[in-house]
Amino acid sequence: MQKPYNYIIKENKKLGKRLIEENPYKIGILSNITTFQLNEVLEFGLRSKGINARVTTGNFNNIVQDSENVSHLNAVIVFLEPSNIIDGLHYKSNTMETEQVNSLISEVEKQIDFVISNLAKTPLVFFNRISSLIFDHCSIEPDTFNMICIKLDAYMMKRLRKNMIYIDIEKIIAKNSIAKSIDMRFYYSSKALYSVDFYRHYVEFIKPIILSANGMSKKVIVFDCDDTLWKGILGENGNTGINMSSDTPEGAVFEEIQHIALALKKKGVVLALCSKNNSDEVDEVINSHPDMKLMNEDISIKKINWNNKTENIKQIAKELNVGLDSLLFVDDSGFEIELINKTLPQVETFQVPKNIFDYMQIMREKSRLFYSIMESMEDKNRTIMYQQESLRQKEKEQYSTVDDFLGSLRLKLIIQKCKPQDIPRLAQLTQKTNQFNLTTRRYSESEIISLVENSNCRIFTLRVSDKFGDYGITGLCIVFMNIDSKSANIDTFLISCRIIGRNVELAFFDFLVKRLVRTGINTIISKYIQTRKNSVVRNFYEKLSFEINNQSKETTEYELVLDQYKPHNLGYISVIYE
Amino acid sequence: MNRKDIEQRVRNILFSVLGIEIHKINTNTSPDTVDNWDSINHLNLMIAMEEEFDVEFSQENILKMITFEEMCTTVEDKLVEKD
Repeated sequence: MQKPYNYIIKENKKLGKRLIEENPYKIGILSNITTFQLNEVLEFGLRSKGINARVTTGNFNNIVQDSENVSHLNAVIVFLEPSNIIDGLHYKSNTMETEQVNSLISEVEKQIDFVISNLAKTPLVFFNRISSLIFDHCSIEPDTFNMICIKLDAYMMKRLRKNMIYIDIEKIIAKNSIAKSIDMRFYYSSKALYSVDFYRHYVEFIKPIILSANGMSKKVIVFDCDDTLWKGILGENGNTGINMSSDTPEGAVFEEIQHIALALKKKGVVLALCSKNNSDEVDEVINSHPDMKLMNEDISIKKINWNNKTENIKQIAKELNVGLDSLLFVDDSGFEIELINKTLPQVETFQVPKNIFDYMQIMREKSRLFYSIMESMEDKNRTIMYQQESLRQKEKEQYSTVDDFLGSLRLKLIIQKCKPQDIPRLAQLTQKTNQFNLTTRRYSESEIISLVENSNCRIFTLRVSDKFGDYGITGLCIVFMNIDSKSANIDTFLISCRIIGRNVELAFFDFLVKRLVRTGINTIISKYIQTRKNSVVRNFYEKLSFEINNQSKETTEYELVLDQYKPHNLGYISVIYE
Repeated sequence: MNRKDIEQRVRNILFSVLGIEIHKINTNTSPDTVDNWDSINHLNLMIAMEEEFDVEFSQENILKMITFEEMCTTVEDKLVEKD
């Protein structure tokens, strides 16, 4: 299954050429060993997921120096390999005097402090565990080298900032084995300690984090039922003939799978069912089977019918208001998996393995796809909100016009200036919002802070609620003011996909124009930057009667003289400015 | 695997890693005739070759394999050793 290095290099070149026009996602590797093979493997891993990664390596053994020069990078990976802190530390340290060891440790601690403070503003930083495992896994008692690693690792870990992620490479080495993770020939000839195989596993390990930083993490897991959530076929064996009880070895597998699913739900992942069954029979299992762990309130959406699963899965994405690439689909049937792979390639899938006892481990591995870089309070409430979304969809079917429906929602917008406690959420919104996002500019928390501090910049946050509940902060507008020329430039205008389709963007824009006019602005300049996901807002500014100033392949620049603006004055949305 | 197969596969690797067009590869293709055949790419070539033929080269092999001819001969020898 693993791609040969040869293939990776060749395909990576091709992918690089295809992606060259897009804004690159720049990753820098700072290392005190030779890690160049990671560049190819990492670029390939990310490019094949659609991220236009450009990986560069700092100068050899220049972690400290290069850490001062990272402002152009979106992410940094630090490989501080303890055996090369000084040449051959893994064997030399064991004959060193205590005093010498202590002064070395405090020297490296100073370097760690310096590097950490230099990288504090980089949006995403990875620090590998400082591990002695490769060199001391055979020794019965801890040696000096091990002691140095433990001390430095603890020192580093305690100081890592919010934007810094600790990667426990011992897990990666354990999965792959020590022998396959390193190549001593190349360590001694070229200071290249790790094998290509290690880097393959390393990239798989960190990829979900980078995907998440690019707003591409999975959000929904869609389960089949028979032989996927329980052992047996409900339609043939009946309620009592299916098994998910830890009393039997096979039943225990499914009990565990349901627990893993529940744990994912607890972290904010949305659970959905898609099964060819009679829906009342499945409901009966959920409501009354004594061993069933997933309850009705855990499952946000159910498509239990005899329709084709392609349609059902499309429907699930539509009703939850998420892209197809936010979905992971699990089924025991090779046919269904193949069908979804062919018809909806954006959906990630996996088949329940033939050896059922491999199921739990695969499930755990796939769970990483749901990694979320910023798990805020908002995330935890997401399942509730998605459930409410399904409720809303159901109500929608009963109204004769959309306006009827919107009118019944009792939509309320609260618009505020950015407050300090909103900053993490605002950064998260810029990271995660792909569809209703005019410019798709991604900001880290520290970048948001510097925008707040910029006196020419205005940040308006949008809080939306309706009769079903509060969505929290789900919209954002960042504007740069030029008082001299009486113009304002919209840097960011975005609305979370959870509230798309309710015209709140129009009410938000009405407010914005009113507000800007009041501060003496008479012209708005704005931009639409095309991405693969934001076609929904392609004509947003045209509809608001903006004039096109300039147009290139991806970017359209607009201008609007404010006395030309026709407010929408939507009676069914109440707007409060605080 | 005969010599022809080996040569074909080594050509493919030189193409993937260094981007040399297959028909321009001859027995004397070496770091002297290929600009980007530097120490990093040499290591890349060695890793790709080891994976392709499922063999392991010694330090001596690695230092010697700096022409197309030598690469193919070394692989041939390694494969004979394996049998």
